[in-house]
Amino acid sequence: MSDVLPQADRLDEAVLAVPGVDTLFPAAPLIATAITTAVDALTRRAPSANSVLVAHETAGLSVAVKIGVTDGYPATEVCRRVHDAIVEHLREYEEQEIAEVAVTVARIG
Amino acid sequence: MTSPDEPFLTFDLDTADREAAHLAGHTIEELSDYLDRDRAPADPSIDDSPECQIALRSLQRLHGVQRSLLSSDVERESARSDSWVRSILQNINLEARSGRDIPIEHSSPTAKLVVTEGAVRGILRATGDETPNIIVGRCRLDGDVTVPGTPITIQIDAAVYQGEPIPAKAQALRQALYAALGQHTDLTIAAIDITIRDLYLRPATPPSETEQR
Repeated sequence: MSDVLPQADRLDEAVLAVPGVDTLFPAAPLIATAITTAVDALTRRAPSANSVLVAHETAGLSVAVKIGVTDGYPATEVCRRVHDAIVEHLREYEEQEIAEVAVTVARIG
Repeated sequence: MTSPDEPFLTFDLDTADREAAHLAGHTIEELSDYLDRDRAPADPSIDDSPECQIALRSLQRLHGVQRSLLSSDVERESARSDSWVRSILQNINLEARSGRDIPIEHSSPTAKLVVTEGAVRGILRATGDETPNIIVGRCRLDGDVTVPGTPITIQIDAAVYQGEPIPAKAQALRQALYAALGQHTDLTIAAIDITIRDLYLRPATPPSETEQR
């Protein structure tokens, strides 16, 4: 089952804090976007772009993000650091196992 | 040199292909207009699309080249420039699409890291465009980029300004591309094949004050 966790916006921050990440592209399909909009309305927070998709699955949590990497940073290294930042964030705030962290570099420079 | 009637590069797109080649629902002409309007009013469907962003950056560089070409010799080059620019626009449109997922290695079993083929083509085009007096026509990744360690070949078609030493320019471009690929991907590069398809007039420089006297 896919869902948008309350800490998803904090995941946004964790990803954007990684040096070299300049953009977080929407990673969620339309259905999840609708869920986020509803959650945003209920929690009175500003509508998020649904940039981080978090899904609860039997094997554990799955996270998907799509990033843009700025000039001057190696995309491979930035991508690995984003993965590590997400894992670190989830271990801090989530008890559930991590099944998969998918990071897509969709633009460089 | 190619004949004036021969397009620099061609992609013969039929209607269905053109539809498929849209970037996040936008044509390359719409993106060019958006650039001309200085990206105002902001359109999230363009700004939030990595494919559109890659295309916009390529278009921005192409506009600069167009301006210098137009100022060089409008009479002689205008007809050929039109078809040349048209073919590059088509290539930008096709290359900016996300394409295949190219794996990035990580020791963690939970990691599924990839860079899109579109992002890599974007960086190849940007690297080529940054090489002095080179104009990139097309970039292509040949081989199975989805399997780590599989040797692949990069195909680049380009033009150089007339009078430039072609082997030296090609070598400089090749070295820059190797460096960019090494920095941004884990790809195993078997070869980078560069085809110089055309020569273009160097932009005219205004006569100096000494020459005018």
